[in-house]
Amino acid sequence: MAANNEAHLLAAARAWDMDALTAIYDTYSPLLYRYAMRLLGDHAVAEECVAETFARFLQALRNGGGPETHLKAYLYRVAHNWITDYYRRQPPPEANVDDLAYALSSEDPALSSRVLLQEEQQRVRAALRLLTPEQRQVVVLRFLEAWSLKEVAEAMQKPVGAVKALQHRALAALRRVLEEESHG
Amino acid sequence: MDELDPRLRKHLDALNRIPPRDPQRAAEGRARFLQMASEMKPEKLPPQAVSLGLFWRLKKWIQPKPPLRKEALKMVNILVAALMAISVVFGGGAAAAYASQDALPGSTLYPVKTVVEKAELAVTTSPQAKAELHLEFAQERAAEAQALVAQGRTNLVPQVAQNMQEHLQAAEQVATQLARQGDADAAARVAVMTSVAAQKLQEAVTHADEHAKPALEAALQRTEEAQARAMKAYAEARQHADANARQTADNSTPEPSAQPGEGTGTPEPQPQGEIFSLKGAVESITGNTWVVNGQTVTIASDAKVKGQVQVGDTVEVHGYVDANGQTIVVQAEVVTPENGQPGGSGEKVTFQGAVEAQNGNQWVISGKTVNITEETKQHGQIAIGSQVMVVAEVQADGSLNAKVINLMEAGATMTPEPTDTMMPPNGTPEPTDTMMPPNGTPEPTDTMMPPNGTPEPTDTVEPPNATPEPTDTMMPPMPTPEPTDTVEPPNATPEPTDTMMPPMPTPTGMPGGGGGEGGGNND
Repeated sequence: MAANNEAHLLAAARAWDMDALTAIYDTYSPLLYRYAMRLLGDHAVAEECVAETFARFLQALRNGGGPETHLKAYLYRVAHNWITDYYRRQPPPEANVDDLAYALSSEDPALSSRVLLQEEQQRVRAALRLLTPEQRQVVVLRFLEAWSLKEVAEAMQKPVGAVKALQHRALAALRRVLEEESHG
Repeated sequence: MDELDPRLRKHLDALNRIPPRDPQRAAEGRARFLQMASEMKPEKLPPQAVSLGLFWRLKKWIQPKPPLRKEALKMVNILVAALMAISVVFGGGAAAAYASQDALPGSTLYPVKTVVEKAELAVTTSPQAKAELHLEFAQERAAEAQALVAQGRTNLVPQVAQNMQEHLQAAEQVATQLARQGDADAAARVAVMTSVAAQKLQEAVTHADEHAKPALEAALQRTEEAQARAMKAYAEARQHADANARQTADNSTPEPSAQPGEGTGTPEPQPQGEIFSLKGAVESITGNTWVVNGQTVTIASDAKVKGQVQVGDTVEVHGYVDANGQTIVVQAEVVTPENGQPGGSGEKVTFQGAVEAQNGNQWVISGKTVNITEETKQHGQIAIGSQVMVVAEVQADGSLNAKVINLMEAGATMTPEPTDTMMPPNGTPEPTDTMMPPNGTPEPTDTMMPPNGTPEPTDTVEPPNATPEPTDTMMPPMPTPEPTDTVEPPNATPEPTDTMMPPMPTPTGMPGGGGGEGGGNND
């Protein structure tokens, strides 16, 4: 969304124009859902994350806060924080060994590939959880959401250089975790 | 640059394969959001009138800007105390105080708003700051009047109008003092802010029904009188400043009398002393220099800028032309562009000059071609060579449709340089700036002096020869054909002080003030 457009939308949202608020929801809710789902891997929790993100956005607007610009960056930041909190509250899910064993032994290639995919996703999510929240944010925004460094910097409210450094450390850590795991 | 090696890429790609969102859940989530949004909707005010009132100000203070020092801290402390007291009384904490920003008379939270205002005034010691605060509150009252009118709660209008006058009077006392001290910039700020208050009130008058109209019109008249006196004070301040400058000429006064045409090379006459209002799209932001609708303006370092202004926003800026010929913006706010009106159209210009040609429905006045339409009201016998004042609406294509053409008789005081001042700087279609004839002003210099700028403005001030039938065209109740859209209704007021935008010798390097203040965040 062009910055101008976004600024107008935000101005209208501040004036509590329901059309603007609806437009914002409809634009970003699918993106935030996808973002949350990638990290959380659970429909219900991802929906909760989206709902909470927008609730916080409304409250911020209502209190005269909220983003002045960079709405998208703001919303992703809120979602990221929610996910970080969620991680703190919830222990990481255990890999379901039985499922895995069943899938591997199954004759049905679709089933086995689906379970294997889930297993791989679980592994990557677990690896991401081991990163610091900021490292995780960089990796997810840069490489899953395909944002530019500049966009990530806006979302994180950090200079581009700092994002680069985080990215470097994050990838090194991720490599270490995922490679170790596959060899372990 | 992308340090993602293929193996890592493959791992991460696994997360890109997520199942589609359950449409049922998505729809439920959306419904919950919409319900929450409508439940949280603030007590209604027309967005423009309210949007960033009190709390915007508080926020500004709480993030102190460099020029605000001890006083600001003290103020914050007291405000915090006031807000805490309020939250005890109202139990709603910050929410109550916040909500009070939008409060209208008659609402439970309105007293909170007035208490906070009083607290602000109580802790402000500098006379200038105090005057400006009074003027902000006067503007706030005018905005409330608009809101009340919009809601049809006209019984509360007189109370608001009364309070507005009190603030205006308080501000005026300071303005007189500033004038004597020769503080032209300070006096200019007062004049500009008073003029904005008048504009906002005019807007309320335009939409008022017959119940609210009498009180509002009376208030408007008094506001315009205050505006005229503020302009006069400004003129006096400039005279004092000039005198001071002459006295200390060898004492290295920064720039004794401006070098106007530096940018364009055309030494245009100084339009100093004019104040202007301009509405349009922000075309660029470079530090404290904005280009609004083709006009380059400098945002004063302590300008009151409402909202985060970005390129592409539609803004209203109000300011004055300083002694160096720079257009200094004192107040700016983001406005929502009117529906169906791309920024830049639906705006009005007011200018004066000689009729140079009359070719059917196209006349050339002061170098500009204006279209005469069915709606055009002509007053007086207008022929080639006549001096006229024109109120024209800027069309989407930049052409001008005349709304009113008023003959100004030869005897009427004209601005020293009627034609030149109207020329837009770079051939852009002229902006909204309005300029009013200075008829009736004693001082020759004050191109801006409104007719009743004399100490006791009465009907008699209206110079009989100024316009053949002045009332008809210039009085507030005049049913302007398209009054609604612009917040500046220059042509409907008896003596709007706003002057047209000066030619602005391409405001040069902008040496001035404290850097990129005023929300100049560029994208």
